[in-house]
Amino acid sequence: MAQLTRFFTYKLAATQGPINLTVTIGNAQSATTSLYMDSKVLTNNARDSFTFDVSDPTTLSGKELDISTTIVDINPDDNEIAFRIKLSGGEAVLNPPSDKLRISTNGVAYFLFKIIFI
Amino acid sequence: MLFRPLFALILVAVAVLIPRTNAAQTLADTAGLTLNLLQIPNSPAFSLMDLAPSTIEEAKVPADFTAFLRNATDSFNTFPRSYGLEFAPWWVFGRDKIDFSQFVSNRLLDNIQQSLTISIGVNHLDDPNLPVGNNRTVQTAFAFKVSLLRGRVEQKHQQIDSLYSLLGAVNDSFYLQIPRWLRTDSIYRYWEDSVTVLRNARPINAQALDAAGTMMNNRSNELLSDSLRFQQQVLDQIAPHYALLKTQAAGFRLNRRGFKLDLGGGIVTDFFNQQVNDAQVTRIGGWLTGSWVFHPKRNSLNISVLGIARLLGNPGQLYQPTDGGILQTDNNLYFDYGARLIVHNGKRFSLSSELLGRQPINNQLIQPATRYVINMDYQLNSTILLSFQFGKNFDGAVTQNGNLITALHLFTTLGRRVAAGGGVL
Repeated sequence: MAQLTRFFTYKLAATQGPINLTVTIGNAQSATTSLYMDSKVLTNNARDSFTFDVSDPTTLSGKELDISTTIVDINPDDNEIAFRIKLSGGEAVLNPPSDKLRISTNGVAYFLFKIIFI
Repeated sequence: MLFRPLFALILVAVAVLIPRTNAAQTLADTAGLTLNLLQIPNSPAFSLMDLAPSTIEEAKVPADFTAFLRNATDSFNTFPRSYGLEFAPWWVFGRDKIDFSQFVSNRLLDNIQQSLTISIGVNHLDDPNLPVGNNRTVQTAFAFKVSLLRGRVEQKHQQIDSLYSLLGAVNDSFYLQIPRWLRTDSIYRYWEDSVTVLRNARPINAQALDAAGTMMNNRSNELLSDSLRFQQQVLDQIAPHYALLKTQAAGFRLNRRGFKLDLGGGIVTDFFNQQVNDAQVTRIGGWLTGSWVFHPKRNSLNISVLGIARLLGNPGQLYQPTDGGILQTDNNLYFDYGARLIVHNGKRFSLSSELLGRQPINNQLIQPATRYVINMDYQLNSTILLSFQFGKNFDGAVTQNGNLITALHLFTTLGRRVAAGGGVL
């Protein structure tokens, strides 16, 4: 079992539009991801890689987006997992490098990413 | 005699490979032996140079990068004279973008991306009719192969849904348990509260928020890396779901069954007398290979039926006309067609037979020809395969005798397989 957290701040654009989130799970492993905005569910257990538009009728400023992802090693010939997020639609694109971890055969990894919009 | 040095070389190579192959074998035994262990390195470059044990090759799992040697020698008394490289560009450069859904799909784009392999093969030929020193031709081939259809994964939708459902339950539990556990730590709690205060303030002090967030994150990773506490405080709380998830993942089989269709092609260039400026393209080819992999029904036998349609162009080919006239040179085009039946015992051994016909397309002076071969393959381990071959080759374009095929091929591969389950492609 491997577990990792990350923290980012994301600067919104002057005129706020939807923020586009891309979650990418690599190495042919399977995963589910839930998104929470200030602890309220935005989407529940989306499978594998996906994109999601984060929008708010009022403002996103000061709000916290939690990305909770669990990955299980299902590819018998590769015990490495790769997890990556990308955010766009704000002042700049947030595209941190992929997090790569080696886990045991049929092992599990958990990622909790916290993003605060400013 | 080169036998002793060659034997020593093989021993050294095997000794070097032992730790790696043992490890691979342990993994394979744990996960259940899958069909891909029975697949030979069916490089399209070797196939184009007529060096592959079989002309009709099974769709195979690509490796991100593989180097292999082939030895089909007289009693192993010479060094390997054929070698090659093969790589799968998408697995080399885009591995971290391939998710499970794409991996198990049979969509055309996913199939092409994940199955495309580029291969290079080199073969050394000696012409006995030329004096030693001027008789060596180096043959090189560049080829590609791609699966247009990969068959369907034998895992049932309900089993996949069940796995994701468990994964979701574990994910929900982690999100519930981990933040709660982290907050039992006073240092973490301090930084998390600081983040909350800073993000609710207006205007937001981005620098201070970043700093507090980084401290909070550092502390959480510090706590999470304490595996004993994590086990007791989090994993034990979700033990039933967690154990079930691991069990289901271990039971997954990703073999593909049903119809598969491969497209291959390439070009062969001969460098006469090993001179770069004395080169000639001697073969250009393209082929479609269709195959059907049946479900094992009885005695765990896996049966595959394959068929091929291949166009081969031979620029400047020297041939003997059927009317017995003088040797001529022409750009001959052939259409090859045939079928192959493969029976695997589900473990290490496979038996196959293939029958091919060759029809000259643009030259009435060349007779049609046939080829039939029986192969017995035995996988010594995940990287070494022995293949015994017996049969009749196509008649030569110049001579019609000497077409008996009898060879023992030893294939050694170095590289990493990228995907599971034999049959994934």
